[in-house]
Amino acid sequence: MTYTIRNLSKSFNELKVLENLSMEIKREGITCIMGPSGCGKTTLLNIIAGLSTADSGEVIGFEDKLSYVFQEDRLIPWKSVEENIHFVLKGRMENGEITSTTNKFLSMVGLEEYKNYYPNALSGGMKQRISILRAFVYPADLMLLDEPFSSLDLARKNNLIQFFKDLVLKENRCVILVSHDMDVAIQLSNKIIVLSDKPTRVKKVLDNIYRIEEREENYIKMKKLLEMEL
Amino acid sequence: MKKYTIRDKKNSILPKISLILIWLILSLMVNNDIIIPGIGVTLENILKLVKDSNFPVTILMTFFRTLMVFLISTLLSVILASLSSVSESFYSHIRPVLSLMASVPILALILLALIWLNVETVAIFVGIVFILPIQFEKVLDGINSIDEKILQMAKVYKVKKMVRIRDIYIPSILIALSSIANSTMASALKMVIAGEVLSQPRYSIGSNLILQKTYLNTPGVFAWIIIILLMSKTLSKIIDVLRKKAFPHDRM
Repeated sequence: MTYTIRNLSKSFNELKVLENLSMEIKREGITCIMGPSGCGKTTLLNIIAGLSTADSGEVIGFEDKLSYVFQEDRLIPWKSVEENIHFVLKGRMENGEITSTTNKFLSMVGLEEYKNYYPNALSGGMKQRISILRAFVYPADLMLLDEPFSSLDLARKNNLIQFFKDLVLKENRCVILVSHDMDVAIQLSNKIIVLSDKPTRVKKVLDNIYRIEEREENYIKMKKLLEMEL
Repeated sequence: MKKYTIRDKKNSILPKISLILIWLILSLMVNNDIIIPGIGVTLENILKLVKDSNFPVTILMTFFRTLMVFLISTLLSVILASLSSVSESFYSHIRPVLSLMASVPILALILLALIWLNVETVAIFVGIVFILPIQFEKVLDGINSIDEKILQMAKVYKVKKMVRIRDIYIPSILIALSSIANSTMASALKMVIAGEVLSQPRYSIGSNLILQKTYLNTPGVFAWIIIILLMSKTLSKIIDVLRKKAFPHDRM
């Protein structure tokens, strides 16, 4: 079972961002799409999510219900942590179920003490955690992530990657992750699709051996492979 | 945090003391209660006014008119601005009307209101005409400045339109309105009193001001001004409390 992207083209005014891009993405595990910045990774995600429409080509097989972790946290400032999560569940579940699901997830990641905090009282890393949690609480089969760790410093980034890995372990989800960060790709994804600079094409599809066996030499091997491609 | 509140208090008390000192010095220099009444005689007049059996109903009626102005104008501004944000043509029709309202001299307006309306409603009408354009702009601003990224997030998560309106649009409008609530309430009070001065409804601060002026009782006028200032201050404190209750996220 795969998601298919076929001959996708998109330009903004004169600028061609995607041109005849095609790829297949497995319907399981975490797939990371890597590529130089400006090659249209975010545009691709937005087309998949229905936030943007392609000029031509099609995306096939994508679920109607998907969750999205953006580069920014995109929390509603006047809603508490708990209410921000409730917001995406309204109309999908009974009120009682909304509360119990939210509480279950918050305590699963040890954040229940923050449930009444407002976003402006939280650090950037904490806000992004809530945004990731919101995507997990939402009953979607596919999760899209657009460079969710890019605004953080190294220590916070590693923390958040661990946070994400733990959640994926507990709540198995199919994930498409967009990043230009090799460490993020190697630590998280099962498959890595490397895109070329414009015109954007699939340059290479790599199986991440580090995720099969988390050994340092595998990490270094993967890093070398990616450095060659990027 | 605490240090700043103390400094804030100091900053707000000092100018008040100097204002009172200037008043004291001027009244001593002029030495004529009809031109600039002294502090003592003004206080006496306040006491006399407060003891009057009609005082509570006078204050309440002016307060009631102010509140009506505030509520009606708030409601109208929300309705008109919401319609304007969804319909370009509605906006292009309503905009000139509101800018006309904002630029007509307030006295000319009161005179027209005196011809058109009965004494009881003139003050309310005048207040609404004055604050509606201001609130309208603010609400429209609130709607237009809603973070596009938050709306996108709601769209991706397929949040229903009703929930979006209730949880994003309405709070944004209320937050925008609450940011000017203090000044709108103060303007509403001022405009209502101005309207009352000319329309002279039976129970009102405005007609009492006119009465004191007719008797050339300047200390009485000063006394009413101080009562109005206290009223304005009380209203502003109430609004602050309500605002903190309604939007706890703003407290940080």
